[in-house]
Amino acid sequence: MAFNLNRLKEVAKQPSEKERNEAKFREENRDWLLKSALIALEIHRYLRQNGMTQSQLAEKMGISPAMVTKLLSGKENLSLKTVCGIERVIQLELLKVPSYEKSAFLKCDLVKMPKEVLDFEDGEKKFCKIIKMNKETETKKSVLAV
Amino acid sequence: MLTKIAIQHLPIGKEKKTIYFQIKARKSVTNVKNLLLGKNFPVFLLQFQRLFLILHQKFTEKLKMDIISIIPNRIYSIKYDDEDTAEYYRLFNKEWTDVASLLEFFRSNPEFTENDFWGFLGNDPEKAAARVLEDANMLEPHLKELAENSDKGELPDLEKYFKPLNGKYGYDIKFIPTKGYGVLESTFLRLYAIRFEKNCYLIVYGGIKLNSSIQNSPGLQENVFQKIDKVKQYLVDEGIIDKDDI
Repeated sequence: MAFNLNRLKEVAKQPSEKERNEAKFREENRDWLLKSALIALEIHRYLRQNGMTQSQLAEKMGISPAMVTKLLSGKENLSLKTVCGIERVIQLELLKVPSYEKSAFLKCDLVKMPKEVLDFEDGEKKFCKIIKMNKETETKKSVLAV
Repeated sequence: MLTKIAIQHLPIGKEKKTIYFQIKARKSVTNVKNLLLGKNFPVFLLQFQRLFLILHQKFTEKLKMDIISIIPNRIYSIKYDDEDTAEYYRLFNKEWTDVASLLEFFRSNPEFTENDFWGFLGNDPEKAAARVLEDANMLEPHLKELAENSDKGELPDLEKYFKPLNGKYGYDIKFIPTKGYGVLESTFLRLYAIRFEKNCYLIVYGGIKLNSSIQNSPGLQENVFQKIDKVKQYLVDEGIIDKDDI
């Protein structure tokens, strides 16, 4: 089939300014836009699994409902403070720093933990609890030592 | 009595086409044909005349859409008249990247997890949406890279990306619509495009494919072939395809 490419070039229009700007924004901010959207999906899942509304989440996080809407849109450039706030509420680690995770694991003194805590029935979640408990104990010890 | 009549040689753009009506009437074929052609007939049959006028207007109207240049000389996209943005931008700026739209789509089509192919995602619309987001995030720069390779004569180029769309168009050796996939191994994403020449494509439609066939995929089944046919007619109307080639 013969296509008239000269006619194609005559007919073809340029993207609108809005389309160009949006494409440029996507290109320049691709990495964090994806992370923001993935975090939004984690919050959506949390709301679905817990049968919670957006306003209940806003109350629990101590932020405005408008801010929750922004978080759920997946297009917000989140601050570390906000990410940690979300982590605290949904009890999931969203931002992982590999070396930090490793050192926390090494410091974890599993032997001293009570037997019921060492029972790994819930898998990762309980393991995270152990690390958190251990960190708290160590902090208290260091405070006492001072 | 069901009467099937044909009104021939109605002007459709520069073409002549045949429209078929199937109507329920007690009148003979000749009478109904005369009615539709504008003769004086009883009032109760005027509805058919209105129907005829609407269809006549619809078929003689030039299709309204635009072609937008996305990557010059390499990727073009259709902008449909009922959309506020070109198809390419609709996909990358909304359908594949908007969290709310994705979740609405997967939550309203929960049966996708029942098929063998997507079963591994479990009944988890968020996981499916995350997969689309990640895929689309990589696909856009990938297309740009393929277009750059096409300019430089390097591989892989756009020819490696778009594959002929079989099925309905499988036997049409002149007009070959194509399809492109996302970059992930198991991908929901599909782009449908018309190949103008080597490494030059017009994106016609795109979406999320939930099943093995377009006909069973919500969102695609009611759009892909219909849009390709409309765009083909538009290209003829605009003189980009020679009508004698059809």
